[in-house]
Amino acid sequence: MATSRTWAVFKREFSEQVRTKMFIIGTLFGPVMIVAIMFLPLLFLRAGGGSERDVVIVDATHTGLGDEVATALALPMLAGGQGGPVGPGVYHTDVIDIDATEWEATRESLNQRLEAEEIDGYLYLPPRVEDDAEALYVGKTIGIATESEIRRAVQTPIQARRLDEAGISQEIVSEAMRPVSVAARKHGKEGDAANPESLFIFAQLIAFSIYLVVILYGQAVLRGVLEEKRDRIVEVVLSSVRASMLMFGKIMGIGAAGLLQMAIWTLFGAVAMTWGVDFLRERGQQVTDVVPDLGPMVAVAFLIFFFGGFLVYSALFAAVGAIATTDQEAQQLSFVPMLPLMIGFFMMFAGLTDPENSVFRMGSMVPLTSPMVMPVRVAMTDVPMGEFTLSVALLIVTVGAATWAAAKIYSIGILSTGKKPTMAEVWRWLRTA
Amino acid sequence: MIELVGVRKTFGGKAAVAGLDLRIPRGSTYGLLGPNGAGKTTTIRMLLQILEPDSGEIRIGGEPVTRDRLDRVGYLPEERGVYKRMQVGRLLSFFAETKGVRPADSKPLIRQWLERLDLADRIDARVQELSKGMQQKIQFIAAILHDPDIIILDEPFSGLDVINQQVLKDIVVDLKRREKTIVFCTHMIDQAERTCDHVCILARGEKVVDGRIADVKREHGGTHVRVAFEQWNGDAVHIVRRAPSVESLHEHGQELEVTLRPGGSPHELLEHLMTQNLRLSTFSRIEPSLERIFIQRVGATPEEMAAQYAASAEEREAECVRAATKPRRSLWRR
Repeated sequence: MATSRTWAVFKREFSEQVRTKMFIIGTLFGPVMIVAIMFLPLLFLRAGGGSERDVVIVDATHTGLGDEVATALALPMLAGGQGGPVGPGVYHTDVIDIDATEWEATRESLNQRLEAEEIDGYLYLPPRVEDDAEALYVGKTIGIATESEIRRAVQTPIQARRLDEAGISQEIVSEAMRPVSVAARKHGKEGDAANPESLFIFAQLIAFSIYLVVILYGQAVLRGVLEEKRDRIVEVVLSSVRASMLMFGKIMGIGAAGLLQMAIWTLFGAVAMTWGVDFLRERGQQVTDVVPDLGPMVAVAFLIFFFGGFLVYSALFAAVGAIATTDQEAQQLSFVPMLPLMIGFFMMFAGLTDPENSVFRMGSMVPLTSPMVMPVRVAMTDVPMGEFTLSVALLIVTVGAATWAAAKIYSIGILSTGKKPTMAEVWRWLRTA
Repeated sequence: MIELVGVRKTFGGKAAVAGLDLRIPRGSTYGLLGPNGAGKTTTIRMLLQILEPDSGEIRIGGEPVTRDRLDRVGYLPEERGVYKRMQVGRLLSFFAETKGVRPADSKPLIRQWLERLDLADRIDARVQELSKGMQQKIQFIAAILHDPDIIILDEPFSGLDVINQQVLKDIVVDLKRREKTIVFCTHMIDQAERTCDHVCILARGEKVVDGRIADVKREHGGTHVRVAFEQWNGDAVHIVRRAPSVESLHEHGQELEVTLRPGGSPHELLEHLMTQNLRLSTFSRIEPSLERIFIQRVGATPEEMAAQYAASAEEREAECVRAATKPRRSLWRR
C-alpha cells in the first residue's frame, strides 16, 4: 500500500534523525543554548557593571560637596536609578580638598597615578560647579554606565542644595518624587494575567524556538535529499516510493523528530521553571509568574504557525537539495530560504518593542515571515480575528504551493546529476505537467 | 509477462526510447542489450514508474503497472547507493518495508541472506564501516530480499570485484531455478548471450531484434557455414565462392566462413560442393554471435556507438533533465 511505503520512509527518517548525535546533544543542551542566546548580552553587562573602581574626588569648592558626591557614589542604588538594567559599580572614593590654583599640579600627579594604575579615575569639582563650571571625570575607561553614575552622583547633591536654597526641604522633595507604581497589563484577559516582562520573554522564546527548529530541521531535510542524490540512493528508493511521497515522508519524519525535541524542551522548561520559582519563593524572594497565562489562542497560533512554517521552509529546503549537486552549491542556494526566515526573525524584534509597529503587523500577514511573527503578535496584542484568519489562510495556500512546487523540482532534480541546472531549467521543471 | 506497447520517451526533442514494443515472458532470463545510450535504463525506469512514458502502455501480467504490483519487482540499478550511516539490519529492513514487507516478516529473511553472504556478524555495523565489496553484497540483498517475482539488474557486473561477480551469478542461477523472471540490462552483449534465453537488442532507442536467442540467431543472423578442405587450394575457394547459394565468404587461415544468401540452405551448398568433387574435411553450420547480428543490423559495433554516445554525454545530461521537464502538451489539451 502507498501509505505503508510513505510510512516506511517516515519511520526511517524519524528514527535516523533521533539517533544522530546532533539530536541528542541538541535535546539536552538546546534549552541552555536558547536561554544563553537570549540572556547572555544582559549577563555580560551585569557581570561587567559590578566591577570595583578607585576614584579620587578633587574638591575645589570649599563647600564639602566632594564628601556629598562620595556618599552618593557609595549608595548601592541612586535615587531614580531603579529599574535600569545595569547594576552600579562599586566605588571606593578618596576626597581631597584643594584650592583651585593647585589644580594643575594635582592633576599632574593624578594622571601619573592613573598611568601607574593606582587609581581608576578622578573627578574634579571646580569652584562654582553649582552654577556654570564644568565638573570633569577622567578615567582609564569610560562606559555609558560609569558616565551616568558619576553624573547622577554629582547632580544629586547639587540639586538638593539648589532646592534647599529655594527653601524647599529635602522631605518635601522626596515626598514629591516618590515613585508612582504603574502596572502594565495586556488587555483582553480577566484580571491581571500577563505582566509585560514575562510576556516579552515568553514571546521571544516562542519566536526563537520556531526559528531554531525550522533552521535546524529544514537543513536536515536539505542534507537528507542531497545525500540520497549524491550517494545514488534515490533510484532504488524511487522504484518503490513515488518521489512526492518520498519527499512527504521525509519532511514529516524529520519534522516529527523536531517536534519531539521541542516537546522535550517544553517539558524541561516547564519543570525547570516550576522548580525554580518554588526554589526562589522558599527563600522568600518575590517572584512573579514567569509563564504568563496567555490563553488557548496563543497555543493554537503557535501550533498552526509552527507546523505551517516548518512545512513551507522544509519544502523549500528539499527543493534546494534537489537542485544542488554538491554540498557547496547547497550551501550557497540555501540562502534563498534563509533570507525570509531571518527577515521574519528581525521583524519579530520590531514587534517586541512596539506590537503596533506596521512592519511587524505586515510581517504577521506575509506567509514566509508570518510563522515567526504571528505567534509573537498574538502573544503581545489582541489580533483581530479577520487578520488572523487571513494570515492562516495565506499560510495554508503557501504550504500547498511550496509543497507542490518542491515536489515537482524534487522529483525531477533528484534524478538529474551532473551540472547544476540553470534557473530557466528549474522553471521548466515547475511547468512540467 | 511484462509487456511494453509503443512506449516512447523523449528528452529534449531526442527520443531516448522510440516506440518500443517488448514482451518479456514469465520465468525467462531476459537480456535487454545495447550500447550505452541505447535507452535501456530509460526503459527500465519507465517500467518502474520512476519516469513516466510520453506515450504507450506498460503492463505486467496483462494489467497496467501499479505500485502494489511493483512490490513484486526487485531492482538493482546501475547507480546503486545505500544510506551510509544506517546500520545494515535497519537499512535492509527499510528497503523491505518500502516493498510492503513488514519489519517482523523481513527480520528472518535478513538474517538468512546475511548468513548466506557471510555478513551475519555485520548486522549492527554501519554501512560506511563495511568494505566496498560488502556494500555491494548489501545492495544485492536489498534488491531481492522481498523475494520478488521479477528481478531487474541494470549493468549488474559493472564495478563489481571478481568475487562478487561470482556471488551475483550464483544468486542469479538460483533465482532462475526458482523460475523468477530476470531482466538483465547490459552493454556486454557476449556476456548476456551466455546467461539469457531471451534477448532484445536496442540501438538509439529502437529495437533492433528480439525474441528467443535461438530464434534471433536463426532469423536475423543469416546462415553461416564453416568449410575446410582436405587439401587447401585457391581453386577450391573459387568453387565455393561461385556456388549459387553463397553470398559472401571470409578466409580464416585454412578455413572458410561462408554466409549464405537469404533462403539458401547449407544442405544445398553441401550437395553442390559434392558434385564438384571437392574433398571436405569440415562442413558445419555455425551460429552468428549476437554481436555479429548487432553489427550487421546497425552498421556499427556496439563500442563505436557507445563512443559516439559518450561524446555527446554532456549534452545528454542536460537533455535528460529537459526531457523530464518538457511540458506534456497532450496532457494540457486533455
